[in-house]
Amino acid sequence: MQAIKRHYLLALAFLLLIALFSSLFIGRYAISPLDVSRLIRAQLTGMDSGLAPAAHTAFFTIRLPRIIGTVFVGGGLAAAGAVFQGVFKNPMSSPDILGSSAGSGLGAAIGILLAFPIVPVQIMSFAGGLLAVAVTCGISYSIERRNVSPLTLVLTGLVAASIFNAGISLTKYVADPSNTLPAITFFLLGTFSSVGTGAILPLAILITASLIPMLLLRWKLSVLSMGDEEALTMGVNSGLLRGVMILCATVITSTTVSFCGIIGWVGLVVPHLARMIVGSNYVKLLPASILLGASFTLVVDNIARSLLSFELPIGILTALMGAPFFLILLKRGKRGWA
Amino acid sequence: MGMNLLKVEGLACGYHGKALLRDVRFSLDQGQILCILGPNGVGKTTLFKTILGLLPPLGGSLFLNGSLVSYRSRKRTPKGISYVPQAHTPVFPFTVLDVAVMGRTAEMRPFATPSALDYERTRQVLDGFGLLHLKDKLYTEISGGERQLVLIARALVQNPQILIMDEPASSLDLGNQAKLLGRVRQLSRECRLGAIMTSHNPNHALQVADHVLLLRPGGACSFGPVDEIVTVEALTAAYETKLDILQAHKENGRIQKSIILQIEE
Repeated sequence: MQAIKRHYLLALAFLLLIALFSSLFIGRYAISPLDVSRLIRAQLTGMDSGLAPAAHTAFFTIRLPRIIGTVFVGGGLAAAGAVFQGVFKNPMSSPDILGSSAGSGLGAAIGILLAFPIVPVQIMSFAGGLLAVAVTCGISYSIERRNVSPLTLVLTGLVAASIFNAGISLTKYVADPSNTLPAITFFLLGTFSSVGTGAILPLAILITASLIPMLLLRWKLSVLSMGDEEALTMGVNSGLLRGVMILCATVITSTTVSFCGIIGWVGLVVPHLARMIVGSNYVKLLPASILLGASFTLVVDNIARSLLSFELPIGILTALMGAPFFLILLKRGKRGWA
Repeated sequence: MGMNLLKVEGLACGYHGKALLRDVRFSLDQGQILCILGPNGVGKTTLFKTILGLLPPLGGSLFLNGSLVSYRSRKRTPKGISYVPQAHTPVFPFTVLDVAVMGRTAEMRPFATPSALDYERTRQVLDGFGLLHLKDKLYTEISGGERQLVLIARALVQNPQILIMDEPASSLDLGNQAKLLGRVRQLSRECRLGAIMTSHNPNHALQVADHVLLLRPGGACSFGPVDEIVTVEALTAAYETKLDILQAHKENGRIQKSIILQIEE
């Protein structure tokens, strides 16, 4: 049993490698596998690749950063979703259940409305996500003092999300319909086209830094998903663990929104798919969710940038593909949320 | 007479500084079963949470193996005490082995995952408890009786001196009740564990318990050997209903008492 499940992880890692590899050749600017190997060799050795400079630019400053960004965002969102489903003992939890996406969206919308350059907009977006979750946790704490229940957090999160969404609507309403409004709308739709070379480092650092505590504490997440008090009697500090997990998941969602806009469904669907493959134990489930989330998002982004003559925002595609997929899982899920 | 495991003196417990129970006193020795009886809402769960360290005591003291337990602000269950919750269906389908190995968590390093040794020790406990055939089954798919036994096995994996069980038999059919109570008695007699269990059925106390703690509405309580505490007068007062106690002579010469409710015509 253990051996089989270990191999599932290897298989998922292999799947991600294939997805990564094939993504290198897909895109508006046709680059053959041979050209890719030439480009990489030229980059490593400093010699001339014999290809047009446009190929070099398309590959190294557009395609490669985008692929790397997609892997981090997809893996991060799936991990955050898997963690929230356990922390809230709720299979319908997605990474933005505490309002982080709405908060990040509002931060970005205000930044765009005020005609800030891209970096301040991203910082405001990131801060907005953290603020929304802080508001949710603060209200929950004021309602229940010492023993904040997962249900209160989720319900308060709904309220906070709706307030921040109203804020987004208000920002759009007062925005200039000829340029600011489309900019806000397009930002919120979610796309990886804005992930360039400069975005890779902060994106990778913030998401990796959030994934590390999740991976280190993944066994305790399994115990926590049995219930707060049971976990306490087995030596798990439920409140502290939940707090750390909320912080890490919020950093992930806020980071992804600030760089790529709102990409829904990945964090909800992928953990369920992973659970069907490797089971509910977070020791396997969390790495599986990360690998599967990265592969899924890569594939969807490949479709987004090559399906039509213009690029589709990936947020639309993840919803179009994720929602029916989720229904199939629901129908197949005879064994509870397996 | 076994060694004293737990001694509770003048304990007051409740929420937000308001005591639901006052002056609770009882003691539990090795190899003994204590059954806590009382009507709904009298504070059985509150008492459990206090002993488990999930709720700060409002007064009095607890001695574990003769030494005073200090309950700090951080919620932590004292070492040596394992909790068996009522069998529930968790949201996500873990395997029986994964559920049982959770009992090793307190012994593991902060960032560790269960090792091969942890799984091996868990398998031994499941085997000793006759549950090894279930290990790869999904915990959400086995029967309620099996789930309750798995939770006891998980508590045993924690290597406790005292088992605290919340209504272990309440949701089970008659056959599974007998099986479960038999297992509890076996654990206390053979493994010298101290067991504390709550029950809605005083017959459970009459059949397996050595001592009874009877909680009455208003927060008063009485503790003593089963025969002294489980009387018609005491139960009538506690549950506010009329009842009788019948005596059956068993083949081995012992007398088994049984509670019969009086239903008004």
